[in-house]
Amino acid sequence: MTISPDFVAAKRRKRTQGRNVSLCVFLSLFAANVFSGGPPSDDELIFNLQRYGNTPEKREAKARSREILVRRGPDALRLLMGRVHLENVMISVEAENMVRTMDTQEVASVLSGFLADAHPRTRKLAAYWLGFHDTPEYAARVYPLLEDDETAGAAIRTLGKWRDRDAIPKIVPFLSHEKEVRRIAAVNALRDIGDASAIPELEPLLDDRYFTVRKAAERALAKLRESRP
Amino acid sequence: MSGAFFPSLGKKSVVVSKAWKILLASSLLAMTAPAENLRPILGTHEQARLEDALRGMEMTGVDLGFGKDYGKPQVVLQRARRLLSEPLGLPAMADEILATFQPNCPPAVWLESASLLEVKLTEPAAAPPAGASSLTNGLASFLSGARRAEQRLTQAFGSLTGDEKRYVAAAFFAGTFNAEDKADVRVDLLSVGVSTSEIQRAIMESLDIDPGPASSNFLAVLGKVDIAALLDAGRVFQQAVYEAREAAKSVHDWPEKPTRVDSILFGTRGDDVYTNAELLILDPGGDDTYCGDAGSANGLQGRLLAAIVDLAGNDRYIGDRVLGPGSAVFGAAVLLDGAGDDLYRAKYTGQASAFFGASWLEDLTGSDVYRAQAHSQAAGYAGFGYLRDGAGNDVYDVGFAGQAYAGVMGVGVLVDEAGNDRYLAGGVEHDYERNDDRYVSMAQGLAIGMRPYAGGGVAALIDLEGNDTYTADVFGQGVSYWYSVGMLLDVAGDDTYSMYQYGQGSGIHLSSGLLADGGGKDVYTGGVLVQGNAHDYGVGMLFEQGGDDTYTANQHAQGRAINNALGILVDSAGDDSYFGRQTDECQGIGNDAGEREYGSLAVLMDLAGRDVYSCGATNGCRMTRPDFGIIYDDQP
Repeated sequence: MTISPDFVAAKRRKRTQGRNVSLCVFLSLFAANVFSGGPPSDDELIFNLQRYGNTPEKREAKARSREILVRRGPDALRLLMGRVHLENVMISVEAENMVRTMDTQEVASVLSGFLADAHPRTRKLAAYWLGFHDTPEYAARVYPLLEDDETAGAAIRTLGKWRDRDAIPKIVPFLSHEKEVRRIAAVNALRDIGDASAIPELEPLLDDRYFTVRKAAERALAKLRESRP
Repeated sequence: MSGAFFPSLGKKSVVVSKAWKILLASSLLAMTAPAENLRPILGTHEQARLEDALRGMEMTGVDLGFGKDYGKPQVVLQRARRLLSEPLGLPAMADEILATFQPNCPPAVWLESASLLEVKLTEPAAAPPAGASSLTNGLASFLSGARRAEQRLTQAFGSLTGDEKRYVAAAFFAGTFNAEDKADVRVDLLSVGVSTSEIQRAIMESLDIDPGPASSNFLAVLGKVDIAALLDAGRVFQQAVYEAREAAKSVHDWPEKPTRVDSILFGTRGDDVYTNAELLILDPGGDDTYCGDAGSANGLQGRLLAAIVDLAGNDRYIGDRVLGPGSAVFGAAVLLDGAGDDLYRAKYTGQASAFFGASWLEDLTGSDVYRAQAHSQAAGYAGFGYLRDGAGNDVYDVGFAGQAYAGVMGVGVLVDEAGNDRYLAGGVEHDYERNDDRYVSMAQGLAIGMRPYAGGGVAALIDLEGNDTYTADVFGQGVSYWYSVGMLLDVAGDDTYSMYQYGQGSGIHLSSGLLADGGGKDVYTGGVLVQGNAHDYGVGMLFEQGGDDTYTANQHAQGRAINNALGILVDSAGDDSYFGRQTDECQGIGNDAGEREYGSLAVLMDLAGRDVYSCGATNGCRMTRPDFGIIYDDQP
């Protein structure tokens, strides 16, 4: 068994029991009084939205919260983005669903505001989800994320989806990155950008240690060679 | 608890004789090779054909180790992690587990459990009972062992405060049995030794949208446990109870009514009813009933140790509280049942259930019935749950989390030696938000971690003989989730496996699962993600060594890997049928993983017989399939 130093440090930083209980009592009131009075607060909405729907009441509260939040659009996405750093997969799932269904400019206006967030996970998701929408005007704000190992993969992918030729020299170094997933992300991004000048950079990856990279490189090279004049 | 159970029989140190050391060493050496009637799960022929299949995709064995270890669990078994990059270690690990657990050799069992949890036992193994010892000597030896076990338990949990123990117990049981929504559960949990306010705190913490603090608190307590000392305690106590059993066999004059001698309760040849906690209940026969606190160890209430030895009769082990017979919480429990058709029933837990504990249950003969709600029938969480059943046609029925279940730092192993057995898991907790009308099983060789904070343990369901039936719903039959290892190993017989989702040799989310069947005409039926499959950086394998087998599934099955995973199905012999309804999502096929945009590795290999494939593959084919997979069939 390995218990990392990070974990020990995290344990030392843990919140006090009293604070936990207070917070949880507060949250539990949401469960007991769902929408019984006036309009639900933001915290109530998110609490009910992310809750495991193992009772009819919870499922009903969840559906109603989702309906309200979807109606609120960018404002609701901003609320969720403020919490996606938590290890709560339901919050991420709901945020992603909004990103996929909302208007491009609305999504971009929200996500771009989180590209420099204090939480690496938030920055990463903001960059990643921005790539679902064709908003290359934000490329310059994504470049710094290439410097951070937590966010680099998302940034590479998004810059590729935006076909940002200026990013090519910034992406090429990742073709020799020690992490297989970074090499794959770089290969796919260069494929998406579609500039045949990257072909010589990609060819060595046909001999990569892992098929995941080799096959991605094969596909990228096939596309780039096809598009070459 | 100190001394309350040990007033007068005196001490007797256990001497490890030279002869026994030699015997133990030789038996352990013999166990380094697979047992006589078992081929290696991945034999040299199969391995050679696998390499050939990989060549057919322009790959080598190196490619099996493509990146899957992308999580950052704070607590993790290194072996579970290593299997992601060295996946052929999975069948090798199954060989090792099978070789250890197939023979009934308790010292080897304890050594293996320690090895799986990556700790080293320090207590010397005691000599086995020499047989026909006198009652006085045998019981003195038992009490000496019990003392040592108690000392080791004290060491195991010596760094934990009472508050911390109750905190993790409240969190675990409130979560497992959904105390948040069930008022009767909140009342029943008081019997574990936690207070109303502790249960409320656990519920409140579970409502926090940030799971980090509660998880950190829980794992911080877990990290203080000396797992080696805990396993030592279990080993010493199990050995001591064996001594008592041997001694009991020499007794001819059993009392007319249950009689307590020091801390041991002697039963009668009649039908006795036991309701109270005892260090040891020795019963010679009759159709007995054990209920209440009998047979459960609960360190939260000062009952660190509990044992039952019942030599004969059709007995009933009834768990009418949260901890039923065969449960161990901050303690060690041993339950040995000799002959008879027995009924084990637990309202909540029991039947080799270990939470921060060690629990050992052996039932030698008889057609037995095991029923429990959850975390039962060889379940280990921060500990070791071991259930071994000998002869007889047995029925195992659990709601969820059982029949070889392992949580964080846990090992759960169920061995059934013989008989046509039925395993059923499900019907209690719905699988809401995924399959609302179905039930979670989490059983039959299921190991699970606390994602993302901690990996899980190792679970193995081992059935050695008989035509067995395995029925589960969601998560079962050799499956794991998040840095864990789950296995189902069925050595012989015409078996039937059926379930809905996630199982039959399945690795889900950075985890490894395996199902191996040694032969017989077997039938595999499933829905989604079954039969040698993996998802999201997982490793899932199904090995079938012989017989005419039938595989039926809907989607993502039969050598199927999705989202950058490795899925393998190898059928070594027989005329087999592979039916997959969604033919472009079954049978030796990968996928491009959505936004990740890169492939998986999937292999369906059939090495003999006249076979039928619903996707159109033919005998003798080398059919490569998209993103990236192959159906590799050797001619009959």
